[in-house]
Amino acid sequence: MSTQPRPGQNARLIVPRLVQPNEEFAVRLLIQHPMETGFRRDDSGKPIPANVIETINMEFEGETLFKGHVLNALTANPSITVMMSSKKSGSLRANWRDQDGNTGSISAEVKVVGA
Amino acid sequence: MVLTAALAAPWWLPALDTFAQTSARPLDERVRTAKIERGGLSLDIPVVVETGTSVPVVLFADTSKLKEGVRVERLGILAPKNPRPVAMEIELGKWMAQARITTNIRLGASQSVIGVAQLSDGSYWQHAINVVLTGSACYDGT
Amino acid sequence: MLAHSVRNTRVASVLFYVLFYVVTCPPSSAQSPSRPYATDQLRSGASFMAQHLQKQQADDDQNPAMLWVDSGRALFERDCKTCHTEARGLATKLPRVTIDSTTKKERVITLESQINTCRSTRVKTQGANASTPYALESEPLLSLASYLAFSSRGMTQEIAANITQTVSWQRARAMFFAVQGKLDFSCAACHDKIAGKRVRTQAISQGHGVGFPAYRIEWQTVGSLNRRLRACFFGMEADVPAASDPILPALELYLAWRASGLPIEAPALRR
Repeated sequence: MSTQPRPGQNARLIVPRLVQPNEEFAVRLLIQHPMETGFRRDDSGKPIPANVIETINMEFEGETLFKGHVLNALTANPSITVMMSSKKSGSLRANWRDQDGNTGSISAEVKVVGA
Repeated sequence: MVLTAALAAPWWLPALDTFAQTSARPLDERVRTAKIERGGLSLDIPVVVETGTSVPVVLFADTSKLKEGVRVERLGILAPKNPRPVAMEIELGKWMAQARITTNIRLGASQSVIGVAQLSDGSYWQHAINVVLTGSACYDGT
Repeated sequence: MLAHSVRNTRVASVLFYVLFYVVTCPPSSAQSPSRPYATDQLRSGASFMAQHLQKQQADDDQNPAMLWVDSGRALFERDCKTCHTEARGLATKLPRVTIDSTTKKERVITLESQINTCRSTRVKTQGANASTPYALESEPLLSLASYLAFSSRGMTQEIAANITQTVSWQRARAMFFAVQGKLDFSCAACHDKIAGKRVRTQAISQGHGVGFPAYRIEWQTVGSLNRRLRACFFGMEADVPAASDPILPALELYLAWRASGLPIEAPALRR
């Protein structure tokens, strides 16, 4: 089992390379996580304990882009896409935590033309 | 008697659910008493899906239909027949260019999936779409 | 009178078996065997999926398998760079047939088994896991396989000209045409004959493996072609071979021959 990474360590945060000031663009967060519901059983019939991502916080320059409070029914390896816009360049950062206490984070730079 | 009890406390009431308690009052409890109005809300979800393990959803609240000074605070999705009926709830921050969220959710059964937008004046927009789960061609036990 | 009817029954049953054989047996491999689909008629599994999945498959940003590609790339940089400067094209050489030096028997090498061969013979990794092959369907094996397949996207698999002469190919072809399971199916009955028709709401694909390893919605994770084939046997309600059964690599080889000309699109998104 040591070869299996801890859930939530591997992620992608996708933003366009360059955007215009105040242009609306998509921010996509993709996290590798099994999102175990707790309703499944393994091959021997034992229930697999629930472990889903409880919270996701996405911030741009220290201010909230969005906060995920309840994420019960997100699929395994969930993706969330939202639209944002900004006048100035800055860094985008996402943090998340699952029920087992595993945390993860990823950041990306948003580059705005001329700012 | 049984019926009244069932009506008073629907089995899907997420008050019983430890997860939904992460926000002070579970979303569907809040919207249960709210006036149902579609407003500018649109829910884009396929009406027939093969596997409930991943169903694409786009929830979009058209902010041009808001009253002056009112903003969309939260977007949520309810799946009443899922074991945990509050599928997701997301608070929107100031950087959001649109009240739009695109993701994939799990559905445990054919059901009416409800999109909810909570507005800053305390009202709600709601829109529901009936999704039919058909099952895949070949069962997979691997 | 009785003898007469017994003989009639016997004639009838012999006739029945002859007919049955004619209907179900694979076309004779004495002549050069022909593929069920001409190259320009080949369609990958993607084109048989529901529209929303096709959209998701077409956009790598929406394909969770790219997370496996990321970790596979890191593993490749760490372990494989000494021998392989370039990842592109490596996956096109597989699956292929080799003769085992000790047993003198044929063996089919798949992408996954080649990674493990490299790992146990060439890779010098420090620590507790040094030089041990990865378990089938384990995260690092799927990651490396996904990355290698990803690096060869758009290329076609190289199929040796004499592939149809090999025992593995012939065994796999016999298996592909064998009627088995509770539902009386063969692989060919669906994927050669009625591709495009529906079972419940799903369209039957032509049964090509070019998208694997793939992220399957049903598995909610990335899986190998080996696992997909076992799932096929399960779906047919037939005996599911063990993951280590040599028939599975042989079938991978047969599928590659059957799909030759179709570009690799792994790691794909599949339903």
